[in-house]
Amino acid sequence: MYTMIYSKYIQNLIYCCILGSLWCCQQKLPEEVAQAYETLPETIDYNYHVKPILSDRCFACHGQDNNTREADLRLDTEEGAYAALSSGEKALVPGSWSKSHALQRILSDDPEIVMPPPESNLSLTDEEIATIAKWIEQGAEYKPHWAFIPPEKPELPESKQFAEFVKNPIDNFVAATLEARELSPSNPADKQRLLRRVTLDLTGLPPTIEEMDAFLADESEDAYEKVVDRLLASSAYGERMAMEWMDVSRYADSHGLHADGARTMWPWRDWVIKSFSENMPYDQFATWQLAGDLLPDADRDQKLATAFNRNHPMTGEGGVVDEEFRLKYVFDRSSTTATVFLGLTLECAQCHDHKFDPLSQKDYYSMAAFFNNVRELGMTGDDGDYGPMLLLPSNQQKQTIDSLDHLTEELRGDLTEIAEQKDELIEYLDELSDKSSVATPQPVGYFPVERISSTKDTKGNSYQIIDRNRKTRIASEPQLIDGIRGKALHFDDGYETLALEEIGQFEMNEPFTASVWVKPDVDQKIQTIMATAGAKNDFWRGWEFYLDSTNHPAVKLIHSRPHNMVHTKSLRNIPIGEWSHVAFTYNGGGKATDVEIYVNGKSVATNTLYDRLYKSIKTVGSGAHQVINRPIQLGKSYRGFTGEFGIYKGAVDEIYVFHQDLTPLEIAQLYAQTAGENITNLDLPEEAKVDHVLQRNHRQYQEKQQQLRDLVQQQLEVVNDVTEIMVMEEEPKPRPMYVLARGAYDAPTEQVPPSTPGSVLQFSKDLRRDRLGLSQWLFSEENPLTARVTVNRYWQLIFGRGIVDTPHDFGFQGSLPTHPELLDWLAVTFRESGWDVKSLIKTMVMSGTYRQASVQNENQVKDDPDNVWLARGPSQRLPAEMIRDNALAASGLLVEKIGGASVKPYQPEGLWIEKGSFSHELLHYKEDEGDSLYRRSLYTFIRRTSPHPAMVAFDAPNRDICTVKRENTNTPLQALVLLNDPQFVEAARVMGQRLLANGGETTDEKINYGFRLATGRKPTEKEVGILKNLFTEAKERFTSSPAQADSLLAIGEYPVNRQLNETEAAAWAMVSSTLLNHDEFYTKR
Amino acid sequence: MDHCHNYEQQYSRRDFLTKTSLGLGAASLASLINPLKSLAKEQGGMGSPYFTPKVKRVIYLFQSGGPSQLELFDPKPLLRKMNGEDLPASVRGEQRLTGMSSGQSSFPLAGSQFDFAQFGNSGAPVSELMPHTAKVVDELCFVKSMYTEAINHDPAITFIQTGSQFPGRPSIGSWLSYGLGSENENLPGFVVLVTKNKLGQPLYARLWGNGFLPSQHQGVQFRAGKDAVLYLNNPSGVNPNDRRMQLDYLNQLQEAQHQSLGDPEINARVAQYEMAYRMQSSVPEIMDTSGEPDYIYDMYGEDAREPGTFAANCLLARRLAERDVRFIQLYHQGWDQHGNLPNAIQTQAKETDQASAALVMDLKQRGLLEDTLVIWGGEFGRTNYSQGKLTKTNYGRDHHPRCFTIWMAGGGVKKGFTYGATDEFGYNIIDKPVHVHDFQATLLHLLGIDHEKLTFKFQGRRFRLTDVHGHVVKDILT
Repeated sequence: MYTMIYSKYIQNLIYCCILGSLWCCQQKLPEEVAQAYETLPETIDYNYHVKPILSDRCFACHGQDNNTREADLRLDTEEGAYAALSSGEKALVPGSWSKSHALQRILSDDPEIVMPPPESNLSLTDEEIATIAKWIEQGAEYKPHWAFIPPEKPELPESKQFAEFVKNPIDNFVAATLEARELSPSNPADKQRLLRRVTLDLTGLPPTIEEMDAFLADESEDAYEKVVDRLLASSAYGERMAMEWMDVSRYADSHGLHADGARTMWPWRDWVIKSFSENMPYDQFATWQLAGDLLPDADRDQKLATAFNRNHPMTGEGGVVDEEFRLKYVFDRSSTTATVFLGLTLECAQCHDHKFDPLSQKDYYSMAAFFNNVRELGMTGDDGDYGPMLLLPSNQQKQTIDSLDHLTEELRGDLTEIAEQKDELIEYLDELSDKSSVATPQPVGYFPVERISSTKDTKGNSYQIIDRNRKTRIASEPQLIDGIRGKALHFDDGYETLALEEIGQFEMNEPFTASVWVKPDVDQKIQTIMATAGAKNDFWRGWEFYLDSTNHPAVKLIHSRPHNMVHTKSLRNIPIGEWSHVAFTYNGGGKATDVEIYVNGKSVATNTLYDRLYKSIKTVGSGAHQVINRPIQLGKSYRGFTGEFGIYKGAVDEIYVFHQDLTPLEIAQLYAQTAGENITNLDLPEEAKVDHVLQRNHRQYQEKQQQLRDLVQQQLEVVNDVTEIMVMEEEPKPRPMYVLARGAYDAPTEQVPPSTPGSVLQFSKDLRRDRLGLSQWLFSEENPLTARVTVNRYWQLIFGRGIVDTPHDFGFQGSLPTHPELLDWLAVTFRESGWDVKSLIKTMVMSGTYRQASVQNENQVKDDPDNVWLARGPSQRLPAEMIRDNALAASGLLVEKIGGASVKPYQPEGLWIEKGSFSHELLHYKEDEGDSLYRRSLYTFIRRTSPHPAMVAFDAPNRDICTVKRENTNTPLQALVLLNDPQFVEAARVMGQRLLANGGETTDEKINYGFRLATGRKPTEKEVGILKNLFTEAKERFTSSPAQADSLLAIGEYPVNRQLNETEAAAWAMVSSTLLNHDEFYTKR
Repeated sequence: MDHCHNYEQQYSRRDFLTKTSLGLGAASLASLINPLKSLAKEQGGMGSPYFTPKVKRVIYLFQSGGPSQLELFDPKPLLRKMNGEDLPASVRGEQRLTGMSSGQSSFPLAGSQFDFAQFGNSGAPVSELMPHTAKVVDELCFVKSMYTEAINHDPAITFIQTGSQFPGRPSIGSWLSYGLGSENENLPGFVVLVTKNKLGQPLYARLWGNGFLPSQHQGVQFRAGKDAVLYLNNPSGVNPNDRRMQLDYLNQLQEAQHQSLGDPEINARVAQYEMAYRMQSSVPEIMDTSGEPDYIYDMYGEDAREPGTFAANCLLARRLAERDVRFIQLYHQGWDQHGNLPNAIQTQAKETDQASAALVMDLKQRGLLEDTLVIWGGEFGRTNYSQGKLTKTNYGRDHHPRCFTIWMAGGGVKKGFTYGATDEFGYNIIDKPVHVHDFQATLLHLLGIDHEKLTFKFQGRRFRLTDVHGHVVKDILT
């Protein structure tokens, strides 16, 4: 220990000597740094020049995370950086780089001293060092992070030089920057290219020939604006905007993890299209999606919108720890919200404080707390949707359901009224009082449990049964022991079960009763007494009678967990090691109050844990989910994946199942006859007798009861077919959220209320601490991020590159805005417009900046290849969806139907099954037929673990996570898709037919027509020449081998036009294919 | 983001890499299949992530589902002795179990039904299920002390293949493609082969996906059957000559377009089309194994004649390795034996044993083993207790993250060597644990990459395959 301290002391002494000598002797910067210093801007700004360096290379150890802070030095705040170090020196001394210890360490050659230390694998360039030095010289002034200062609307800079270029305020800012950089704007784009560009940007589709001609012919001054207005008003605009929102919202038609089964999300996608088309204000658009369910008197669309935050991946993998995955979903919602609306990488603060941005781990969990209060499962089934759910009935269905609801209410009122008129029943009650027993109805199954024997099934396999009843089956070897009467069956290990076949299937409107004597050995875990309820892949559907971990009898009637079931539990428990009689009755009414639980012949008080059952409880098989008559099982539940198997340890005897709801007296009778009691001695309450009389002797009551069941059945018939969608819904009691150590689900520490990062904007006390409050916070005037982040994302949509090139990161590590004032002007204008998206988009496309030609001169290629300074118009390879849609449009195949379930266009065989076979619904990709093959790609079915290969080739993300910026790559696979994918080959041959049939008389005319269809412009003479040669050569080839023409024309489902000359049609197919591979086909120019 | 293309830079790099006789097409090929030969090094402020590699390429025989180490390579006589007795709580410790067996009322230890013997000079124990592997143990390096954090397939396989339990990160092969580029100018640098018609635990495109790396780094799947790479074949009615003619005219059009617009992107596209055209012959040529001599089929087994089998894929892997494909990832599903293990594992072993061993020896005979790394293993191990009822002839095993065995062979790793050990229950590691990140760090090290330095900046953070963990397992290196 001594040696260590001593050596440290020596080391420090050496540092001091070295640094001392540095100060004494080296007043100059090293030569390379000094050279770089000369090239720096006059004024060094903390936000724009210095912080990107400090954040990237220094803050990981000298930032806000105090768990990893070295040498107790903070460089992210002025106080920290100016403070005296333990050595007495100061890291930063404003005005003097040579006195600033931090810079001396940066400049050192000594690996023991230099910063950043070699083991960090980080270093600073000469220019970066010079920047820091100059900043210190100029006073080392810190400033708040630019993006966290609320935007203000700047004055418009005047442009004298480029006055003609300026069409609207966007251009004032762009022109000013161009002037400052000694660049010049390009000429306006020619009309053909401009029309195609704006049509693609606003609708995702190319202009038609008629639209081209009309625009070319329109010489009025507002010709372009008329086009823009027409496009913004089109329904295709809604689809185009929705396309981008699908990436943002990680939309998919499958669950994404493990089995990656089917989900139903498309009704939400259609809502998005409609919202964009109707130009719903963006704040409202976002609020509905984040918190529509919390709006006062939320309507169907407002609730539907919240499906946005159920789009995250989910797992159905058997055996996972439920809480681990449930939290994963909560985190996904929170990160997605932070990415989309705030442009923050909040997820970096899950395990520790954010390394760069002022976002603490506590901020992370406070934000997650908004999304934690949903009744949902971590592990769901392989296919299907899981609660909370919203029913989406048609108008007609809705009317029927409402009227049935109304009738049900009335009927329940009638029943209560009758029950309250006890006077009428006195005669019967008197009669009853004298009876020492009542008759019980005929059971559908009675099992006295007296013997075990063997029998054989039809195939000759032997199996074990009880009571010589071939409709029973025991597994493993439960023992026969002495029972409450005669023998009983004893279960021990979870492999011993008794199945009762063909008697357990009841519908939600059917009354039934189960009655059994039990003698449990333990009370440690949930123990299933008898149940038909299944497991995750059949929605746990059916019914279950069980003992909870403290042996309270409980009943579940399940359509689907966690949202569509009845769950009620006795307040009284039963003892270990003694015989108890337990039973429950259900009268077919569909509510928790329609279930009665009995212990030792008497009804017991219950606690309703969940009461929302609205669909069938008939058991279904896993896979196809067809109804199967699952046997009642005793000894264990059917669950096998959750770690909660419901293993019953103990004995059972005298098992009854009735297809009726027994009366309290009849249950008492069942108990009494076995216990050797007389029901008159049971001290049964008056209500028991009343109920008995009502059920058995009161005709009007019986009729009403039957009517109620009929109503439930009618309701089932309607509701069972109604589409449901996963939405957000708050639990009545908020679920606490904790900061999780290292982000681990099982390491909760401090509890945190829902809140937002204070470094961005404090969460006002006036706001509700729920998602609605969060939404109000996002869209409040003081929020510095939401408007900027949104206009930036739409700028990227139109111009191909954001003003901030990291649309997901407006934090310290993000890119700086290239046109900060323009960004702020757009942000404030957007907010002031009432978050009017169409107006925002219109402003962008009406600008002179947008309307420039995109032709690149040599200097631009060299100096500004990415068009950062906007001296030319936007140009970019189209996104995957648009490339396919354009091929469909050019060929005339496109079917412009809006919305509906996702469709399955051509896809190579076998891609789904080779990944896995757990999802039944998505086992094989089954191509659609007819119109569904030619829908816009927005509607193509998205399976996350096996996305469509042609879409992936063109950088469509697989929707695992929220994506706000796509890659734009260039690979040989893209060429293969455009040349060989049957979708494109078919489009080419149908386009060929179109040229041949409608393209005019001459070859030149046809080429002209085809060129315009594919690229939106007329070909040059040279291009016509090239294509003519291609046509001639192709035609010769097909003439010499007509079979080839035949087989080319046979590709795809679309009928061949037999009227046309085959060799010519095939040759035109080759011309068309070539056009669909032309730069100007897949690129916005 | 840093990974946006800068074509101009590519051009200069491309020129440097071009083999002049191949012209523009080949030039683009080099840059496209090998576009980022040095991009990984260009990331600001980083030291060089590279040093002299031990191997040039990897063949990863991934055994999906979690093969049972207790039946294959890690004999535990005690389990036979204690067959049927409950797993002692002291052995299990705090280990969480999957929901598939945690609800059991007992955890009966299950001894292997298969006998082990020691083989080779190294005396490595191998069970009777793997007779061919037994013969090559002196070439292999067994790691018996692998462990992972995930207890279920999706997170576990995603973890070992991408370094994170959840989707979104680049796979090992795409990291290598990003870091090292490709050595071959006609084939992708990262090829994926999946045994056909296996079913079993699912595979996901993300396992060979590029995550946040540029998408040209994703694995390209080669399939048995007529379309070896999706959309590779010309449509019927279009023969290679027709296609050539079409491309020639297309090139003329593109050239005219370039002259008029000046966008270098157009030339890059032309180059891609030429690359695609060449792949149309290079891929079928690789896939056509009909010229392989009989003795090769004797080695790999008759299965190898049937395209799409594991054996056929092993043979293909050798052919791809010969052409310097950087990362060849095989997947063989079906090892998830929760029940009926003694039966099911025999089929699995039979499907994989001979060809795996043959691949090692074939590479050795060709002198390729010294700069190739072969890896055999799954995503986790299996429990020493029976999932479901233990009977005299039958049992199942649940997922076990705490220990599993993999083997490696080839350049840079010790031959006839065993590293790490588990306790006599086969439940805990008692010597030299190797975490999944350690394994990944070692793999990168063998390829000459410092796993802490091969990073990619995404959303403000520098990501690595090994996250912020991982140590190279130096003791297994030669």
